[in-house]
Amino acid sequence: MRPLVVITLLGLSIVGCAERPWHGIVRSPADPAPALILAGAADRPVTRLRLDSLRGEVVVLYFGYTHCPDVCPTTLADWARAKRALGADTTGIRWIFVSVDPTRDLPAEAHGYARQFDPAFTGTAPTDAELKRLLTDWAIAAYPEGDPRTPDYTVAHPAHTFVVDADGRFRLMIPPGVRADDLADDLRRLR
Amino acid sequence: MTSRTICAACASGLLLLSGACGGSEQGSSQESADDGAATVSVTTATGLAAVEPWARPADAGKNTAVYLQLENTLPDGDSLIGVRSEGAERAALHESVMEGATMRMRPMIGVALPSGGRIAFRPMGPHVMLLRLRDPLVPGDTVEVTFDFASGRSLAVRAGVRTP
Ligand SMILES: [Cu+2]
Repeated sequence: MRPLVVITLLGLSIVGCAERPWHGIVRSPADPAPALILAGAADRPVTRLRLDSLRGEVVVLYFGYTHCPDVCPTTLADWARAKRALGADTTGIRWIFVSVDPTRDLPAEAHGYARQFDPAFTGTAPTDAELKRLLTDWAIAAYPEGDPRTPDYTVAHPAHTFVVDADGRFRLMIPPGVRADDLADDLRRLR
Repeated sequence: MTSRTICAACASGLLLLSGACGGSEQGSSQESADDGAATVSVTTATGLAAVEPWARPADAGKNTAVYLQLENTLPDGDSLIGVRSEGAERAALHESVMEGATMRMRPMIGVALPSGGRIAFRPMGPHVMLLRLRDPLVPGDTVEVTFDFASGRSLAVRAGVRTP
């Protein structure tokens, strides 16, 4: 009799855990993340990116551009706050900013931009061909608005932060405006 | 759900223009504005005030945003028609908008500022965009922006640079 009660309670608590809501949008089914392979800059290995080589780590991804005045810096500042909320030990989490503006952003420049928000962040930029492929593979949109031959064009880009889990599955989409503490909470659960 | 949230924020920003300053607006600038007059950093004799202006750090040649709330305490309404800054090659009134899963920016032209009304510029929403900064902006710096109104009035605002 008593063991049964214990088992029932355990079962309930497991259900309770499973139902705790995520702050990001849960992708279901959590399919393997699309390929993401960028050659990066030859002299800066850190700007090379092969997503499938990062198994074992949670990857936090954003597609933006370094001339972005509002949405990208707001997002990366939120990442930095989330990282601080996770405490001193943030091993096992990779924070990667990928430019979708290859006309203006070189890999090293995108990397320097990401590092302004936190030294642990990395950034890179694709070639035109790599960009085309990644937009298709990830089924996302990014395109210049205004005349791309002038310096003041803007770039439409994905709104969400993407989270790939340690098994390489595309698990979460974090909408803009999700609080840094809540992002930290989701990442803590995935790590 | 997300786009609805963002659109609600846009809509409440628009509502503010008509002077309906309820508690519906989102974002940190609203919280600090509610602290009262102590946060009013610039007020001019024209009856137009800038509350809590701040700018994001950015490198020279890059773009950044200035955020603040513009308030009109005049008996008559006015309309914001432009912005300029010596700190950048170009300045513009912009709005970030989410369309589906994509973030875009679009220009804002002729924003009404009725008597008793307010325009809220805030992250992920309406912002003053500074294009091609002449000098880097680092925390502790200031950058000046001047707002031009249809009445011919203008309001110069000095925004402190800080990380949010
Ligand atoms: Cu803008």
